Amino acid sequence: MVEGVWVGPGQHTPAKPRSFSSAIIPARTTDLASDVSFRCLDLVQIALADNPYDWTWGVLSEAGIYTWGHTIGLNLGEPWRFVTWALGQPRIYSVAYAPALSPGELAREYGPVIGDAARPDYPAVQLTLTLAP
Amino acid sequence: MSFTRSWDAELGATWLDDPSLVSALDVWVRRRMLEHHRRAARPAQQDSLGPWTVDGLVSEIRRHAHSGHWSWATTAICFLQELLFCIDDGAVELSRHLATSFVDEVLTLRYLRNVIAHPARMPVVVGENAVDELCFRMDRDPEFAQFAAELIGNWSLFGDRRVTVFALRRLNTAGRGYIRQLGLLAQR
Repeated sequence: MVEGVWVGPGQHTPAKPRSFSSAIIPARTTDLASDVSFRCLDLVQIALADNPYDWTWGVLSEAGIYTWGHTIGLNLGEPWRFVTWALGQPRIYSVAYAPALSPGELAREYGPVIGDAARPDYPAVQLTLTLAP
Repeated sequence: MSFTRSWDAELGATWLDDPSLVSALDVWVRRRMLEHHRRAARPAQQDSLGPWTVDGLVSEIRRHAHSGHWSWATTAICFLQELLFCIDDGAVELSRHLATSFVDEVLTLRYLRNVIAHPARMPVVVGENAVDELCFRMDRDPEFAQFAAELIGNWSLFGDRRVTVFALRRLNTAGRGYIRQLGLLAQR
């Protein structure tokens, strides 16, 4: 998992936050340090049923693309970026939709654990991240 | 006059520009939505509970403001007000447990919502309407007093940037109070 921040058009690249509310999971074959472009899943915060103030990461499905700001923006064709400090210095990636994955395809591309965090009734959103020049 | 402050500076001074606070409220609201659905024996998932979410509305406020669509940015602020401060009870009235320290700010936003979201509602002979109530409250803020006097006689100015800024500041105060009341800061 790679934590980061979604940055929309007109927004400045932020300073590294104390905590992250966004994250991605790169595909299994990804080498974050060297890959200029890779596919990933979009992780969003999901509240836990038994604790009103705690949450866990969930894989964003196509059912939810109208309810998060960055995917609303991608739906509109806006240029969104993902900024991560996972390798130390900030890295800025441009973001585009990649083909969505059925629940059966998820394990093959991302490993068996991912399926538990994804909805079984909707395809998972997949993104292509490309290192910005 | 801070009316000259850029929109980015206005937004940057609010909780709406802090992803961790937006996310904290977003998760909390989705959870309350889910509980209401379950109580009504409706199957539901947190990413598909309805058309309006905190994260989505904050992005719409930003989007419309950057395009200069001030009336739509104000509308999104009014919707966000209703979502945040009514969802605990799951209806259209203010949730019963809201702290008194920021309720007045919410009420101000609700008068604005009544103007913005009920476009056919016209003045009546007897009694005050939402425009009067809003302008009366806006007049308390020295920075907006002159504009309030103009607004009460020219309702087309509800599409003005100054209304959006006024609403944003009310939402900021009320939202920060609510975040404190809910204890969400400690979780982040």
